[in-house]
Amino acid sequence: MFQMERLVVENLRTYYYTPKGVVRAVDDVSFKLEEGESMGLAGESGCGKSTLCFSLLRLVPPPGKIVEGRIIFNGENITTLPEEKFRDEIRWRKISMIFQGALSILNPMYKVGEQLAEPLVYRQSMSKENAAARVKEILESVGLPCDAVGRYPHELSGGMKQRAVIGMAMIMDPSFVIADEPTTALDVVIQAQIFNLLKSLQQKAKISIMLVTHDLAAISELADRVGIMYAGKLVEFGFLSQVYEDPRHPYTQKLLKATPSLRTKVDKLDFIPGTPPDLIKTPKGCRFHPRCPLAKAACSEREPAEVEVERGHRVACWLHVRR
Amino acid sequence: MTFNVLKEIMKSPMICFALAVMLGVFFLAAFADFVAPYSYHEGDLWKMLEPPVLEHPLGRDQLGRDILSRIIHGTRPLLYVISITLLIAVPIGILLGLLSGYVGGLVDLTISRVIDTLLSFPTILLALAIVATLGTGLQNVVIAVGIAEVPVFARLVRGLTLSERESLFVEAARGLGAGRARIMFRHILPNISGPIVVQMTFGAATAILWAAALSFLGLGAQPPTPCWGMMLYETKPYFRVAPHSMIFPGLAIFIVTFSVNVIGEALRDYIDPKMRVR
Amino acid sequence: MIGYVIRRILLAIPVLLGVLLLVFAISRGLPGDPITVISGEFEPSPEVRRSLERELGLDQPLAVQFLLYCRRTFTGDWGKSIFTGESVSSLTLHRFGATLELAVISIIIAATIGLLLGYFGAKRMGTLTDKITRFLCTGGFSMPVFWWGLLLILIFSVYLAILPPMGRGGIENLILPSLTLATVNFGMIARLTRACMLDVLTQDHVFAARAKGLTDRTVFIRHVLRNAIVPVFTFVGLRLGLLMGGAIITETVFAYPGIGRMIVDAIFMRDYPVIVGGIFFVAAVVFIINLLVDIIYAGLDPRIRFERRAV
Repeated sequence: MFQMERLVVENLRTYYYTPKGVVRAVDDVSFKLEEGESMGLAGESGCGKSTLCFSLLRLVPPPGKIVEGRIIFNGENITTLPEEKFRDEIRWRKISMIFQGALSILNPMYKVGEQLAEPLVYRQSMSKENAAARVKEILESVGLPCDAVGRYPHELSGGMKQRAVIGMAMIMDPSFVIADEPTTALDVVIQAQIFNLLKSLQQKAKISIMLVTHDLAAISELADRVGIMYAGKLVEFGFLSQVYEDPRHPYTQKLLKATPSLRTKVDKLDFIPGTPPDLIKTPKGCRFHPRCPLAKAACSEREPAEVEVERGHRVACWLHVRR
Repeated sequence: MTFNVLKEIMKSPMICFALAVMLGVFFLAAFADFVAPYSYHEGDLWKMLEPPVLEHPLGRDQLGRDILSRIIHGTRPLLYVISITLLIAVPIGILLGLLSGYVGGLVDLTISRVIDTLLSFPTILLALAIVATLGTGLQNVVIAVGIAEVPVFARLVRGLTLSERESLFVEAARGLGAGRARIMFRHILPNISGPIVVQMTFGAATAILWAAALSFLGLGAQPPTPCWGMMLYETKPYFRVAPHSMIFPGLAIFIVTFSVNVIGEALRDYIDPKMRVR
Repeated sequence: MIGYVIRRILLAIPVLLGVLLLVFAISRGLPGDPITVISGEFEPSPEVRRSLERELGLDQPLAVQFLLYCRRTFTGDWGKSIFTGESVSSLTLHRFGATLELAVISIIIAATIGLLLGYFGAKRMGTLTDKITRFLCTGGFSMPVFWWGLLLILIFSVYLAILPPMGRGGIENLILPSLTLATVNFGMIARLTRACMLDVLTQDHVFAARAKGLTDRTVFIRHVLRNAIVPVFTFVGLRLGLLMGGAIITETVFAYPGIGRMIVDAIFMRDYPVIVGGIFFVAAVVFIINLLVDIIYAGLDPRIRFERRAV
């Protein structure tokens, strides 16, 4: 059975050229996602997750740009597509994004319905009636009442706004949706509701979701594969069970230990000492070595090569040991 | 840390210029009697409206007085204007703003209506009306401008107080049993002092301009006080034949006002770092 | 929205009352005896004085005088000018027409320059263009109006002799005064535009709009402009109102027969009915414009409409 690869990222580098120096936010990242699969992308703040998302949509804010690498979506190399073609065919149509903190994602001047319908009306010149019907359809699917159409963003609660933002991402029926921290600033109950919504959309609408978050538990609900990013590098990537049950990178191991679970008894919480490195002057060799408890001499000399420790499971570490 | 701030300041030539001007103003005001080459009230009538020459680099006015010396001495009325105006507008404005913003209710309603009433009058008109009531003279001009500037400060402080009122530290102070007055003055006021100071510099700039404008209408200081606005009033009839007598005092007003505004903007950018490039 | 408008109007009524009160206070506070002004050189006999007092209503208690004043104001009976005998209301309206012309043209010039400068300043933030723009803006509103006006007269009327320095007439009479006023105002408009643009450009909904695949032009018009323009528009509106009565200095310098100059002249000549009528009219105009601007602001920005603290 031939399964088409949904997304292939090859040696992607996205840098920001700031007055203070070159910020290597995404530095040689590669991974693959099959059709029908969803993935999670985890890491600390500032590790480059958001930049990776922007790169997939080709919306890296200046002074950043994609420097090197390829992004192949459904077999097509979208990095080299001319901007207009990308905008017409891919952006929001095939790949869309759910943003974090629905606070100012929605323009306070326009009604919610208007903003959801915007791509339909302005890009596809859809008639007002058809657009309204589609908006109604979407609102139902995300669990919002019909009268939300005529409301302004500030009239909605945080949870409702997030649902609206999800609806906005679904409006053109994309096949790949990036969810960038969709539940920050929402309380736990609402968080659960949002995740359930995402799961149901995943099944019903058959979309691939890339969930970007630092919440490892959330990833385990939705994803088939997981990638762990640190300081611009993808340090581990593999199937969910592989990464969560057999983490090979010390950072992943620490991350998992730092996440409390309701099921197992925990005496004390582990944490990772130190702070993430400056992405302009990255440490020599492995970027994690200053904080790594297992660091050896080789780790500060050369950047570790990627090793496939088992099928589908790759690690970038000189000491890819089992826990 | 202060050293870094100074280094940042030195980077901008405009700010350096502005600071130099203000220092110059203070210096001249203090040492006018020694620095000014001639007297500011005695003039040689035979040489009236003499254009600039070497001995009199800015020329003479309509009574033969040296314009340069008059401008130098004029720094004193200038500082008088700034200080008294702010002395009137700022405390009253802060008081009204704090009361209105913190106490709320009927007090807020009343004070807000009063502020809005005053703001229905263009500043210059209000100041003009007050001067017309009180009489001419620099003192009344200053009082008039001071009163006219109260609503601006009151409104600013009210807005800031409203924002701070829900802050945690206010709640904490309330929980500790602090009275309203104490909360307003010991807790809220220090936290909102930044924007107030910025507004003070802009208030100083507008005070200079309005006081000069009223003097220009003839309502200002009595001669021979070398108030710069007054100098323009006196030489206005002659500005076609002796433009220098009008240009230089006006230029002085412009340069000082400009410097004050530059400093105000620099302060504001320092307090509110939205200037950071994303 | 209707609720907001009603609330706003209700809150405005006390302000109107306050304006009337203040103008009345000014009229009574002005030094000088109106009777002496009327009678001129001759010291009036006690009977004449009493009859004049009765005529002017000066023998009544202050509160009654105030009410009479309010009634007179709203019925349009503003008295006659002591010096020219003209009806104050018609004089005021006539002069207001001149000021309106000047104010509108000045604000149009100032807004055009200000918006453009603000836009380019925001677009090229941090560059030399931006710095020069900010320099010009600060220079603009640091300018003493009278000095700049005289300077312009010197250059264009005296040395170049291409524009008239005073009076009202055709377009050429409006150029210099409106340029003078525009100079003082464009700076504030530009500074506000720049700040609003920068603020909006960094907002997430702009990024989201681009992510939705809308063209740059659509994003700019629907998300940047639409949001940034609101505070700027409000400011320009308020400015226009203030310009109506605040162009006193400019009108004096250019001997322009506007309402501001009418008031100043009246103050010097102690023409009380004109002073009172003029000041009230200006305040009323500003009051109405402020109210309109507030309402339009709520119309533009949905968030304002739902605010319960409408004070």
